[in-house]
Amino acid sequence: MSTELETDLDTDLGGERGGRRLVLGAVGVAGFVAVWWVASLFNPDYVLPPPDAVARTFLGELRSGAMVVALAQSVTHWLPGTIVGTVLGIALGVTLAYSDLADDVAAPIVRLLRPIPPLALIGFAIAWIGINDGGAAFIIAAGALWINYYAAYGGVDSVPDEFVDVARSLGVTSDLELVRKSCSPLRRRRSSPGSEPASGAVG
Amino acid sequence: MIIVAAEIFGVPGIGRKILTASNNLAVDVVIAYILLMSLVYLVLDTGVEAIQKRVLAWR
Repeated sequence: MSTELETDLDTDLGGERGGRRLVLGAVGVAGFVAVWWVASLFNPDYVLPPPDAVARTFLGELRSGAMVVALAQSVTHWLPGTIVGTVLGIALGVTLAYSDLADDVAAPIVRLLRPIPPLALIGFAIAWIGINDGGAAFIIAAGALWINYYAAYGGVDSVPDEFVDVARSLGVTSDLELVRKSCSPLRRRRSSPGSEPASGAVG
Repeated sequence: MIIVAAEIFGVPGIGRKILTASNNLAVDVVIAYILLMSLVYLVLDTGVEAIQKRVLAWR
């Protein structure tokens, strides 16, 4: 126990182990850039430009404001898409994991829809919403939905029955209260990691 | 990944920039915007991790 705590503190507070990781990480990045630079010597710029050319382009785009504009445009549909997908995914995952009836009814539909890649939904996005931020947000929401759905579902599903029984015997009667008091604190152990890949998938 | 997918059909943004630059063989611009996406992810990941450490301190 104390060893784990010391290791965590060491890493978090930038101790010897944290410092070593930083140095090794910097070496890794430097090695990657070196390999990239060497590879660029044997390729034309339109195949693999050298790192310094990319750095100049990056700064040029940043200074001209084009990069900030593109980022703002992406955030305009990324943010609502991620929020809608995350909220719906968690709500759906908690509901289906909590209710056997809902799970039995929805399981075939979930299995049918899950393998559809967001890219395949472009046609639907154009037909239903149009070529606008709403359409793009729809595709992003579809991508974020399943990640959060499976994380929330797994979290609630793994709550031991004994915990639910204890909650009931201590006076929790409504389903909503049971989810909130018994499942939710345990669910977060599993569902919160869903938000990380979800943000990564769309970011 | 999904940002790029979402912008394939013409909505402006980072993905659209990457696709346009790719069509013009401007690979330096493509890599510059890929780096931007990586930086955005790094910021988001760090933010989510910080929130998790606060909200799920018991973990």
